[in-house]
Amino acid sequence: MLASMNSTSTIHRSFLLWRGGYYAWVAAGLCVGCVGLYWLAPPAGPRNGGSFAGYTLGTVGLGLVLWLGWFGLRRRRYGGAGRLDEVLSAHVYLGVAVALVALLHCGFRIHGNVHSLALLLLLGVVASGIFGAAAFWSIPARMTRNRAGMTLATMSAELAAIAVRCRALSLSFPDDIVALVARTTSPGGKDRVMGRRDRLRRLNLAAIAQVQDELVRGRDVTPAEILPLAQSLTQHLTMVERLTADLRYRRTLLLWRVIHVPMTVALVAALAIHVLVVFYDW
Amino acid sequence: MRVRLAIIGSGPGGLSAAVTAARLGVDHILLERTGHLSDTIFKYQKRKKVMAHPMRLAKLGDLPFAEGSREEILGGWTATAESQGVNVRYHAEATRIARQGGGFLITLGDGATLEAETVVLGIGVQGNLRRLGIPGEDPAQVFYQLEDPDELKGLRIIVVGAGDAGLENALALCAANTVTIINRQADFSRAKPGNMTDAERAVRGGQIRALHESSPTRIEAGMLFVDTPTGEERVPFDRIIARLGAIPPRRFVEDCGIRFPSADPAAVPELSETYESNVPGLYIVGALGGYTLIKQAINQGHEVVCRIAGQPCAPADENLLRQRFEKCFPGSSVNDVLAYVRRTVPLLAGLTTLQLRDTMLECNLHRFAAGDLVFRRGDYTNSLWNVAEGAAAVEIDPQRPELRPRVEAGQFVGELGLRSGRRRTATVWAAEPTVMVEISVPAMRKLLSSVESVGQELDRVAVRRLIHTTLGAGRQIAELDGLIAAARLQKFKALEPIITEGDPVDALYILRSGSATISRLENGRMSVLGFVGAGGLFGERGFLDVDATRAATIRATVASEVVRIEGDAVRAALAEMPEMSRVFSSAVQSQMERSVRATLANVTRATPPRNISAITDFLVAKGVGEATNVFIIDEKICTGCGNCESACAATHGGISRVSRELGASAEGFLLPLACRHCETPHCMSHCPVDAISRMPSGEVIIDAGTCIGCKACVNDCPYGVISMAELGGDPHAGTNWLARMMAGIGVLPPKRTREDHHDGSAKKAVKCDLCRTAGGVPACVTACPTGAATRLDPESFLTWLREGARAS
Repeated sequence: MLASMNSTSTIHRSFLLWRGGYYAWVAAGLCVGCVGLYWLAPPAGPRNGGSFAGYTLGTVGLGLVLWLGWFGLRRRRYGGAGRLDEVLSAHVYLGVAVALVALLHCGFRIHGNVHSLALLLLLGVVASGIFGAAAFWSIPARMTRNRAGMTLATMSAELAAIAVRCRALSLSFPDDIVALVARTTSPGGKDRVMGRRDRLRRLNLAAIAQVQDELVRGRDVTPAEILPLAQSLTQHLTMVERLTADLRYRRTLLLWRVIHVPMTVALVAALAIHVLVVFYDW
Repeated sequence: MRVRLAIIGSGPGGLSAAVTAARLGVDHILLERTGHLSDTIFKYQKRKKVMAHPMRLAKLGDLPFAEGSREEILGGWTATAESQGVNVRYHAEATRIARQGGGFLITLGDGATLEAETVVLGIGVQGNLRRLGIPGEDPAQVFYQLEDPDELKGLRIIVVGAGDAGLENALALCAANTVTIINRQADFSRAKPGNMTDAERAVRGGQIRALHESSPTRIEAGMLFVDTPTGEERVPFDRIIARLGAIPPRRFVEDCGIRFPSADPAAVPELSETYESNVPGLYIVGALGGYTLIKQAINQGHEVVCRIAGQPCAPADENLLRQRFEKCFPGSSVNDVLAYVRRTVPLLAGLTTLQLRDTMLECNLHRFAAGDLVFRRGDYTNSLWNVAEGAAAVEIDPQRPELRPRVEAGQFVGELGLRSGRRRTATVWAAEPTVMVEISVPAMRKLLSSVESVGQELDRVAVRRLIHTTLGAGRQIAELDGLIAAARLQKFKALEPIITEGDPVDALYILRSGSATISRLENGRMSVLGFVGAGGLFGERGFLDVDATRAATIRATVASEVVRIEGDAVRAALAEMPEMSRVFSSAVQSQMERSVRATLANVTRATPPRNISAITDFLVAKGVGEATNVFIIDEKICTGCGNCESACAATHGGISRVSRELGASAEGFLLPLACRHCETPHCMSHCPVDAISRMPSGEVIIDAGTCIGCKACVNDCPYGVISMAELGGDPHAGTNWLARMMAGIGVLPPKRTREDHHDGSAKKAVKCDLCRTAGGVPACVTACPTGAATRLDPESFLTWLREGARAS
């Protein structure tokens, strides 16, 4: 067991690169097979899924959808010997393939009925899944770079500390600056930063500009008096940017599933109706 | 006046002897120097809690003794002495004991004499405390006792000595005073687990300042000058309390005719197994004979008097020993087996019978048929195996079955794992019908600290074997005598350089325990090139090139021990055995291959490679150098989904043993808070019930059934990976398949956090067991959906880093 864990092929390898993208090849093979079937066994009538090729593609597609949906359960079945990153790798590549299988199954035709609803739901699930896979692939590295060794908690604490410093430094400035700095730095904490990034950025930039204006306005101030507050406000801006970016990354990593998973449930329901209706009409 | 039995000293040993004598109706007198019983315990600090170690040892005789306060114990003893009719004479200090006729003439301090047929000497050692003995010592400032800590307030106090007495004093004083403790050792491991963990906590919490590996040198102008590893330090003080232990009052004891085995002031008189000294009729019980535990003294006093009175009395450990021996020597008497062990195991031959009994309590005897496996290469077991009869065969290299040295009767195997905590480096079989004595690690540790010859013998054999296995190249061990003679063991502290770049090539090294990094200055920056583990050879490259200086710096990552072989001897051996250079060149070659592969991997990459030096530094700083299996998350792949923690909780009764949040991260790698299964597990060192063990496959586990929840391991673990939790409960309670299907939003497996581990009586220590109870594949790794989580040994990780980590 320990020996197998030590083999370097499984160390810190993204799920998309699992065994050199093994499942991408499996999925590609599946697609080639299905396209071949589509061309080599054309139906007598219209391409509506009712031929030998149509039923075969439909069965393969249904089987794939059910297996893909099972991932929702599999990811919380712990303690087995198999690795979840392998399963996710297969899930992603076969998930992309199932879109093609479904399109071939229906002959690229769309109507205003439950059958086409199932197709649209499936395409939606796949699209959201592709978005999710792209997010999983690209966001963690960017997120790590953005965090620069901090955690959400330390970023929050740091932001609060900078805010206190800004307010304290602002007290020796005119009232309008005190008020502006107070408004800029009042949100504090991650909960109140979220969703207000643009406004905060504007406020913060305005505060920095106004503090620098103090020099121009010709009042009796020296750069040495202004610099500490200007620097602190700049740090505040940087930290707000980092924090909001981190929260945005986290949100993106989580929230695509809010579309992907319920849509999958709807897809399975629509497919059940689709299959029942097809065989009832038969 | 003439009595049958005179007992000198009313400590636990003497008093127990007197109580037994009174009950058996033996004509006796108990002589006590002071005006009360048991002066040593009387002088304990007030309300001191007295332990009844060792727990499993039965107490013999009628003197009551159980864990309790100083006052409770003294009260119980005084009452028993009275009710049993013990004949005590107070203020009677024996100043001389001389043979007279068939008995003894005892002279007392006031000049009176009395005659006795037999004498039991139970005077302990506390009457002869070890002194500080440094220049400038003033009796008004330096004390050797602490009676009531509550009397001292607001003072700057230095406690010298970190044994139990020193730690207890320091702990009692630190609330109301500024306390500095000066410790000769590197840690508090000399003390009992309870004291040690309390003291470590107080040091961490800042209530006590500790100067380790330090010793006082002189007192000048209200300052104590202390020699510390970082140089001389001056510590101001109001009072010094020196608790340096006590040594036998040698003059007095020798005047009685009793011989000591050596001139060492800490030596104790040699005793027969009935505690009789070399003077017939003169018995020694308790600390004077080297037995510092109260229960041992009580049992000895009882045994001695029973024997004098002709009553049958088996030693308290007799039954425990019989059970130990029963499997291998059914029906044999304990004494016969002990004599057999003494005869057949030279390592234990120098022990007194009593030391041997103590050791054998923690040893196992095994009988093997020819061809039976003793232990396997790669196992993590670390006891020492002595061949008592028969012989064992050692397979050093599975590719070369002709190279299978025999370990004959009287020799031992397994000494490398004992020190380094590493996996076994060879497989050992019984070569013929064999009896082996397996000495456990705790027993070995005790022996090493109490019997000097055992450590020396172990070191001697270890050096020979390391040189033979590493450089032997098929030669007989006798042919390597030149190398062995030029070798010595050297210790290095964490981060201390063993070899420095640019130095002349004057020695060859083999790492006995610990680990080391190889680094080189490149473009003004230290760049880490590699990692050496226990058993590894280094410093060999210089011997392949005549004019070479050291090409790299080798630095210990944790406290390490190396075998250093002087360069001249190495060159002479190379001239005599040219095939040895192949061992050197293959080591160099494999290193070069690794670095070439790493360079190629880096050159063909578009993006800059990871900063391997910085990553290695980070891991070393976090103690990964002593890990065998460490959980590392690649932050460039991790989406932060938490499935690793959920998986851990789900496979361990709802309690996760890993925390990403409390972990440390640097250079894109996260080291979550999780057990690393250290080579020499800190957590194992003070578990009072031996609930923590290392499995042959490497995982360090806590047996929940044995754990008593004392938290010793929690305090011992330097990485904070052990927590206390109530076990039991359904991991899936409150979840349903739909909730889990819906991306886990809303309801997750009830992952309890550290804060939720409520205080309660049933709490046990919990930590990662590498999913031993759940199939043996770490669930945290298999449950990672993106492949960011890995559990592996640090060497594999660093190899992977060097040879082609995915740059991003």
